[in-house]
Amino acid sequence: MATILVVEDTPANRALATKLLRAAGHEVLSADTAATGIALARERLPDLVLMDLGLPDVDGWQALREIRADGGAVAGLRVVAFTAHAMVGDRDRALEAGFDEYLSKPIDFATFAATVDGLLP
Amino acid sequence: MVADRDVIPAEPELPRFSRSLRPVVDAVARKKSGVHRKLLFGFLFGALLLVAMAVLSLIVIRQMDDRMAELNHARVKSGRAQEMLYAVTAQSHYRAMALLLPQDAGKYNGQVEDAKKTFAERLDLMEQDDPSNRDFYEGVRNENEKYKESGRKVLLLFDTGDIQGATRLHLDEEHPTSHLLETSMRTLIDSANQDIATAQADFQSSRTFFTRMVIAFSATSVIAALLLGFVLSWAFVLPVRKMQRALAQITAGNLKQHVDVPNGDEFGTLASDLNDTSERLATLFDDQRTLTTQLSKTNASLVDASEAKSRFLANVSHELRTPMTSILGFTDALLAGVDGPLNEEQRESLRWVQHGGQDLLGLINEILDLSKIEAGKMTIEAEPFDPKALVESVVAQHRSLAAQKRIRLESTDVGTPAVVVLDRQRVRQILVNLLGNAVKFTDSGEVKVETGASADGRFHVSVHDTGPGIAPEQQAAIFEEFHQAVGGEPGTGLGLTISRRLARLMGGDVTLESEVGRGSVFHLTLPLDHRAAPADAGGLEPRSAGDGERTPGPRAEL
Repeated sequence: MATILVVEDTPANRALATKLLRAAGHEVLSADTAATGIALARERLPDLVLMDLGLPDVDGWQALREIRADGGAVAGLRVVAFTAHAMVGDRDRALEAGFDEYLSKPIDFATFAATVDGLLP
Repeated sequence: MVADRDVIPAEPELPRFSRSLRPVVDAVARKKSGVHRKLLFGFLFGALLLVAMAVLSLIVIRQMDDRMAELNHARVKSGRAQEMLYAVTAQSHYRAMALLLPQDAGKYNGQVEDAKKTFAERLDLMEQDDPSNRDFYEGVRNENEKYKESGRKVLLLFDTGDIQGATRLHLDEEHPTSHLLETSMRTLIDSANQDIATAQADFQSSRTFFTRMVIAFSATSVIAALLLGFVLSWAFVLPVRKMQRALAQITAGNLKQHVDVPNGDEFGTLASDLNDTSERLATLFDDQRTLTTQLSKTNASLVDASEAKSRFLANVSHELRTPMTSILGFTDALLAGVDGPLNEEQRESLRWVQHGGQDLLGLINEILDLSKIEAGKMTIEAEPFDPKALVESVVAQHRSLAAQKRIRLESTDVGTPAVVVLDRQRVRQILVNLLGNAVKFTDSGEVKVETGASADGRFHVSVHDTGPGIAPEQQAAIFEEFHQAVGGEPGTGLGLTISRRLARLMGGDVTLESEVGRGSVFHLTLPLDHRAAPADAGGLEPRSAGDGERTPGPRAEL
């Protein structure tokens, strides 16, 4: 039982991630922009953040930099990159940029569950 | 003179000193007559000058001969007059000797007679040679007659023995007459010497005159011949140089040239031909340039269109992935029972949705890959891995489908390299495509995967199937986009295209052997390290029917 923040602008993807996580028994918070996502993360301090890389206001990379640069406890959050840009090398790039894990869309149910479980305390 | 290809000669002109001859040169050039006639005229003129020179020389020789003859004549006349004077004095002398020495009179008088004879002979000759002085000679003849007469009288007295009377007669009559003759002879000698002097002076002045005349004529001839030669040669050289210049311009790329050659001969025709040719060349070149411009515009727009297509495909497929993510994700979630248990029919329907969605996603991914390859944006990674393990995992992935279709799936390993440095994901993609096709198109029999090394030491995988086979005329086409073997199951038709392009990007290739009714063999050949192999450019490439034939790789008898 953990609190997970999903930052994703596509409603269907947000709904799916929420559904899967709730089915696994987690409390799910969701945001559709980086700004509201970061604000929510500061307020609720979730156990895990799923961050879409292609957000409408600032992209996921920038959002991660803001989180990591935050003076408070937010900086230490576990953040998973979540993207449709499934390119070879993206995973390495994401881990290098400071993401804790990388998930590509479409979501493979088993991989998704395993990745999330692996990152939760 | 060989024209330097890079240097265009200056506008040709006559040498500076002869510019004033230009109108004459132009007139000769303009003259409507063939080059050979013009040249012939020049040579004839030269020959005429030579003939004139010869004639003049002959006249001079003749004239000088005449002068020489006059001189000789005067000299002969003088000589004869001298001889006659001598004959007269000899007569007086021998007569006196005969009178002084009567005992030898016979001898002396004989000598007197000889001298008389000589005098008479010379006188006749003189008169013949110099008929204009007849009066003078007549006088001399009269004096001589008187002299002879007095001589005869002296001799008559002498013969009678009257030596004294003869002597007196000689002194009184014969001797004064001889004096008269001597005086006449001196006059004659003087006149003859006068003639010699005149003839000599004449000869000298003639020689000077003729020498000057010959020199003047020669000089004039030389100048005339040089002028004619100069004018004639420039009448021909000017057009040649003009054309040479025009040709140099044409060679330098200035195709449109107009040569202004006034010649009425072959050079004029040649120049007008050159002008026509130049005009045609320029027209052709303009046409060609217009065409080239159009072609490059067309080409640029084609490239733009192709890039736009690739961009469009990339964007569209990316945009399609997002909703596909939802479709597949929610289907998975439903099938996983996230929203509660499902009955078997609902499950079956959702599996169809899942299948369709996966096929569609596969197609989208392939279009995305192909558009990346065509845009030259496909990056190829390099990581060391065990190729045998990769092949085994792909084979294992297809076991359940093969089992479902009741076909055997075998794999053998013959000298597979222990490690290769390639893009693992892309190699897997190619293997999945080749093996997937083999299983998909084979309804009975077996699919066999052979992993090993090619003859030249490259990594080689061959996928053998006992499917329907591919007809020779189709074999090149199946590597083209959206091609599907006739009678085959529905599929994307992009897999083989992508597989081959990916293999080539890594410096390898995918090739095919097949026989209708017996099956197909697809060969994947890759270098051990693609960074060391020359990769095929990933962009647009010309596709031809013979595409499949260029590719290296094992080939069996079909």
